[in-house]
Amino acid sequence: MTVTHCYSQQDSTKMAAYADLSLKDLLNVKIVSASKKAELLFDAPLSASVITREDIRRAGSTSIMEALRLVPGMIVREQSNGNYDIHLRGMDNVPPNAPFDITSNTTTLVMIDNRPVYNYLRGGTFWETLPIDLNDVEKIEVVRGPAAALYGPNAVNGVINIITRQATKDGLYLVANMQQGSNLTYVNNISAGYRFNKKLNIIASGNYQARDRTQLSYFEFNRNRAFEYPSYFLNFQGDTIHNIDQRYPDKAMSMDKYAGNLFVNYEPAEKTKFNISMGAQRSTVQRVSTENEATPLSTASSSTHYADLRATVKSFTAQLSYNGGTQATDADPGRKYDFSITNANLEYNFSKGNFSIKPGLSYSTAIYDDRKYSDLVLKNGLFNARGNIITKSASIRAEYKLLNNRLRLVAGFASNTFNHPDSTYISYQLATTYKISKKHLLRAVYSRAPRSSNIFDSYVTKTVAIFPESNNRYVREGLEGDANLKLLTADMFEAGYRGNITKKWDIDVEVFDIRARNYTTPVLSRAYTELNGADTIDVWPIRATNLPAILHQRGFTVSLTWSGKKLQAKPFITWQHTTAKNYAPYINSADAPAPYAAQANIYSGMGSTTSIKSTPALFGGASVNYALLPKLNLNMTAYYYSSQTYYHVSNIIFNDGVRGIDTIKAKLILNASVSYMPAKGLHFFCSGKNLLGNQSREFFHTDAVPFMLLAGINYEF
Amino acid sequence: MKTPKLSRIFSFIRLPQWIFFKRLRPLVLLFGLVLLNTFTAHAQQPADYAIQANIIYRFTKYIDWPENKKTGDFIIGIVGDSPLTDELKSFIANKTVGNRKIVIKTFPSSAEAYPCHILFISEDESSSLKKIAARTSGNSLLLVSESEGLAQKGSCINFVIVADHLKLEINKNNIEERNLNIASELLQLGKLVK
Repeated sequence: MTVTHCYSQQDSTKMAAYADLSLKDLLNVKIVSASKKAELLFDAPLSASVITREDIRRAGSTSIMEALRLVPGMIVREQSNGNYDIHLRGMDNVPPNAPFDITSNTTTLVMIDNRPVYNYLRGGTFWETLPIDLNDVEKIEVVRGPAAALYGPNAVNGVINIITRQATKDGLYLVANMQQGSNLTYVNNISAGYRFNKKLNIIASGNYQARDRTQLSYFEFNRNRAFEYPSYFLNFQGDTIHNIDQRYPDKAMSMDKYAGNLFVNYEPAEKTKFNISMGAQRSTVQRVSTENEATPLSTASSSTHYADLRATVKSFTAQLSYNGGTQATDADPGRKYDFSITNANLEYNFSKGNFSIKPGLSYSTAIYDDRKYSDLVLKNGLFNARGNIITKSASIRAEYKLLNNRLRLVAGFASNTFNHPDSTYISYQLATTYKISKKHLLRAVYSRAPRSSNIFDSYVTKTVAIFPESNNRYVREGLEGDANLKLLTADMFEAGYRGNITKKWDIDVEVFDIRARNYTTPVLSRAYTELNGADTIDVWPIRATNLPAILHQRGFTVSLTWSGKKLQAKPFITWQHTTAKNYAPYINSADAPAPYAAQANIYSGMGSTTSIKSTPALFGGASVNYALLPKLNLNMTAYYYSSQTYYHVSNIIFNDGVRGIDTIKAKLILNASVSYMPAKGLHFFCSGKNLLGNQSREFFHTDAVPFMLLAGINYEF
Repeated sequence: MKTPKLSRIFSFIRLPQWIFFKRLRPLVLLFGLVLLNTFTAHAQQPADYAIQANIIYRFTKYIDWPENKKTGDFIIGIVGDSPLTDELKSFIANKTVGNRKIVIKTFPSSAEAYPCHILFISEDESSSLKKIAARTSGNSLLLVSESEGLAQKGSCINFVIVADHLKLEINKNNIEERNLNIASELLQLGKLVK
């Protein structure tokens, strides 16, 4: 629960303006009530948190990704300066011993103003490709738990919805933020706009971020050590990779990105609203973006653009959005593709008395094509195909309040029809809240959500290696997709309590129990033979396959909020334990051309229970804000996770108990930001990140995360 | 693995290099804009208490206190820790009621007496309203509150938020029982409750 108290910084100019208003006019001023905002969150049937732009500014966060450390339930680990692995509650590195593409977060739906920015290549979010930056953010809403019935497929374990900022008064709008610091970190944001009247306002924004890595070395899986300026790498098979300079053209750079946006809001009449936003971004980062078989970091680049149209007319809401462009998950040739995603959504809101109902329809198509960048005979591209993931959904949400509004029942159902597999999945969300009194609320949720299929798993056809067996006989190892994989689905039961325990202390407790099934990973499967002229080719397919593993996560999150006049504090912590039933650390089927396949295969773990050690048992943080003087503000934030162990696919390949396993030490990160406001709207600030100077890495053999010092200004006209 | 050097951590302090650095050009531009606009007036979104403070001050013009309460300082009392206290203090700084100075006093909910003209009971102390109303029964003081339903429980004027607007709930009986007169202009602006 977030309560934003900003009374201490009242605007005397505005107060003077009120003095001239009549009492009648005063009662007509639209107010933004902090208590009301908090109350709304207090009543929310799902586990939810909100952080506002004020929270973010005061914490001295340098990016949207970093700001997520202020949210309960988030696991945020830095891979290289400014690039993060972001998970909600956990379910990370599942299944263990898989390539990075599989273990990154594919189950949290990230949205900008309700527009999904999901990447369908292998599922997930390419955070650096978000066209907006801190200047554009009004608030970030996070919903924990399966929420597909309300937000659409891929909201398997939660939703992160970033709401953009609008001009709130007529005339010129100008917001600028710039900061810079250690490791050649530059963050520049500027927005300018104009509000003509209540009906029309336009904002243009631009952002630029550049950051250097904290080290120049790269860790190699095969030799299990880091190399500075390596002249070659050895891959899984021990083959030499020579094109280091092509793969890593700028070894010191961790991030270089810029983007521009245009927002137009038009409200011609009451209950009629049109929002148009569009923009483009370019980015190059070195992060863990894909499995390159040599080292964790890859040079990933994107050039994308988007357009989003939202219309509200009376009780109808419609949204149409497009996102397309070119991306490369690694600078090694054959990793590039074009994509275009279109989403359309229509909802109707009907309410009468204590009852409301909202039916909706949505359609999305995600086309990915890499044929232009690959040789279709050699099949040396990323997936060598044109693929399309189509989702059609029909949903209904109903809400009923009874017992004098104390008991609230919310039910959401969605029927999601996919083209891969060609079937329909039902998602639902049943939630109830009971207000014991004004200050105490109990709630419970039961929900189910599927993840849509992805392009790679459905379509890939790629040659990994060809080697001769005998005269005119070859073995071809190739990746193959399966368009009929069962979809990853999660079920959750959750119970929660929110209370104002004293007038200054608020508490929010959530207890969750989640089960997820139908994980997929590439599995070496039964060989078959192809005839090609005079040649006989034995094909060893490595095929996307559903694993029998069922994930079971239990845990709880406790968040406290202390709201004093000068001091606000918000500590939060999550404890969790995850086990996998039926998991076996093998990536071959029983009939695969592998030694001992019949004894050691993906089904060897049936009936067993393995504990998943990659998600920290404890993680959380705190933010404390203290208004030292009216113009001087001190903010401290802390972020903590307990130790955890990451299992990479190379653990199975090398199988020596050393390579492919990395234990990440427990880490406490303390940050402080001091801001001074010499004039209204102008803030000078200085932030120290990781004050304890604990440099230990936060993700599988990625960069050290040292102390950093930044300084900057924030200006609002 | 190479450890980052101290010079790298403090790299941004090397100021002269910045100026020629290409990446910094947007910054220079930005600084210019900031200097240009620093001292121009601008506004943030209004918080409700600024308006509430303003309205409470207006009550002094629409309520008539008995003669024996028309001398000395005009006292506005507040029960509970509320942002309204600071808001009121800055708002009344150069204002008076007639020729009388306005004084803001805070009272605990357990106070035996409330020597003031207007008594505001903050949301946190809503549960004490009944008790305070009984204790001050017959006293010529205007009880103001800010929680749903309190106008029915002894408050004279109650603030509620309806669709992002402040609304007044007025209990005329409670006002008259306290020997106060309320102007019809104010009555018309609020919702009458019994």
